[in-house]
Amino acid sequence: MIKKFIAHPYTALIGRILLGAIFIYASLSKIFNPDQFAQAVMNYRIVPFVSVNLFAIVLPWLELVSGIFLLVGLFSGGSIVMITLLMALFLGAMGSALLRGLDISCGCFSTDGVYKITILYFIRDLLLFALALQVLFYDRGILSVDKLRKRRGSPSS
Amino acid sequence: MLKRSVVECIGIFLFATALAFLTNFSRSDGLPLLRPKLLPLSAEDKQGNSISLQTLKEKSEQPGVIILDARSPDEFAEGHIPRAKNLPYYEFAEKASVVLKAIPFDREIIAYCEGLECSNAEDLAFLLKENGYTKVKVFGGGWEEWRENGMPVKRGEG
Repeated sequence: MIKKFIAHPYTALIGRILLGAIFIYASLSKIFNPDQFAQAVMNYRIVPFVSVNLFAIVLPWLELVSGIFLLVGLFSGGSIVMITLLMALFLGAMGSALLRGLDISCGCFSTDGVYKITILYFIRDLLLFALALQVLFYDRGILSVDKLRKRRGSPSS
Repeated sequence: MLKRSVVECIGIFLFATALAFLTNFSRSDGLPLLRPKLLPLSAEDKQGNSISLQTLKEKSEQPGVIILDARSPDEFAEGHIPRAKNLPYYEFAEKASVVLKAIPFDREIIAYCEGLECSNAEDLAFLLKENGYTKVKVFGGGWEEWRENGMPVKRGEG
């Protein structure tokens, strides 16, 4: 029953829309406040000092572009691979920061330094990662631009 | 199918990176691509970085502010500003990772040393900035001014 629910294409459709919207929302604050986001990245002490800015400039746009593509279902295969990789990266960074006992802000959805990393945020990211895997394996492209393009491109239709 | 997804993923990466660079170059608050290493503090910076006894007194009561004593462990043990942590300038390489552990780079830090004649607090501030700390100040009057004005004193290793 649960397996059927997880593997259902409509569950994957909801997951795809949800993940797309979440990634678009998460990117906005970082794009509007690049300096604050660079500071948040630096606080994790993972990215080498000299390349912090490069990371802080590119990452939010990866989130935004992947989020938009996933939401509308354009290049959904590539965008869900990208989002799954990003979720794995976020989980690794937050997990290592928690293990090292760093008292830093998450920098996940807001760059204003209010939301400190906690185990709850780690669990939230785990759930999002599981959702990304579900979309990766079970999305059938319902209500997607990809499907529309395929239909128009097909000579039989 | 997988191969196609990987190719699309690389395409998305390149497209997003191009957009990111274009936007960054076109905006007024764009970041330099590589984070520049900080140069040694100029005289002007030093003046702008310095805080008064009154400010330090107020700041020392705020829990988020970190106070660093740049003097030797012996001097620190003889007496220091309450809540201060000892990070001797000459032992920065050995002790920084322990003393600064879990302190975010955007946390306000105030460094001090013996008094107006010493430069260890300024030098420590420079090292802290070079290591990524952005809000570093120096209490120029140092331990002498703090003690001579009857401020609270803590003894021991902290």
